[in-house]
Amino acid sequence: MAVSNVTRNLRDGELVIKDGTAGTPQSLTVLLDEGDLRWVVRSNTIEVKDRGSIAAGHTRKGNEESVSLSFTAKWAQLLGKSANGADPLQLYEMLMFVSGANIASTSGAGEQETLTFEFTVLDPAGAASEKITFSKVYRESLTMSEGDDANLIAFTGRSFAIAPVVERV
Amino acid sequence: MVGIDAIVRSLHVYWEGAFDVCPTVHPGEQIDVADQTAWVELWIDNWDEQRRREDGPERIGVAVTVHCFSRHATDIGEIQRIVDAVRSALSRQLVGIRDYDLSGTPLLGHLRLRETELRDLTRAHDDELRGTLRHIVVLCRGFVEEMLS
Repeated sequence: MAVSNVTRNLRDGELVIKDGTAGTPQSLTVLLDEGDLRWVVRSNTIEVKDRGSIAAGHTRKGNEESVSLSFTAKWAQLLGKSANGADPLQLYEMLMFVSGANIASTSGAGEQETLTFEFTVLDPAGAASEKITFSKVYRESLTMSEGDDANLIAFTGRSFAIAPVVERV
Repeated sequence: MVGIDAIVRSLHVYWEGAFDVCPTVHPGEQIDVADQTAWVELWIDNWDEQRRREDGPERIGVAVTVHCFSRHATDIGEIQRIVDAVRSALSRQLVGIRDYDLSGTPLLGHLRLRETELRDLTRAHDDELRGTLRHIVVLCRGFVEEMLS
């Protein structure tokens, strides 16, 4: 059997963010994330009731909804590559498309700036790891906050797709 | 991985350069304090490995405890001066964690210390010693962060 029923948890996940650079995209593995990635797939349904009656009514598909997602990471360095080309790319400058970091959008010119998020959940038993890909992820908010233990960067955004692509790797 | 040995040795090396007010006794060590009116005992007595991703850097919560002793017959301020020196040496400090077993002592991570807490345990001593042996505990919590590769 190529599946494992061992429960996955945050220790098994890895979040990688890629840009739209042609050929080899720029890639950043989020090492300091809190392990709180969350996404919601919504589906809208139109309820058509017959004179108020559900039994006699029916449903129809509503408008498609994009996927909302969020995660939090500890804040270490905000600017890297954009400040010095020899420094490694940092999370903040990638999410913010900071000038100098040369982050390319995964969407076409004139569209909102987007990235690709790849969330890999490793099978602790080594049998069937899975990768969840969120395409065309745009930022809705980036919340920076101070803390006693660590300052945090909290991302919320949407993937312009009705669902992420899940595949076995 | 940041080993416990590297953390302890790095803190001891740092301590040697940061505190020289009175002799320091390390766990398992015995010294003759017959000629001393004051001494401190340095302990790292809590290790708390924090949750993380498989590929994430290690983060270990630690507690550094320094027991300060003074038995000066007349100088009751000695213990306060020692405690202040301990606080100054530990509070809000960043200590490099190095592997002293390797040449070049490569940097493995950092120990980030927070503010200190004090407890006066003088009253806990035997009646025979009360009033002469003063004992204050300085506790400083912090966390070790592994270097990002």
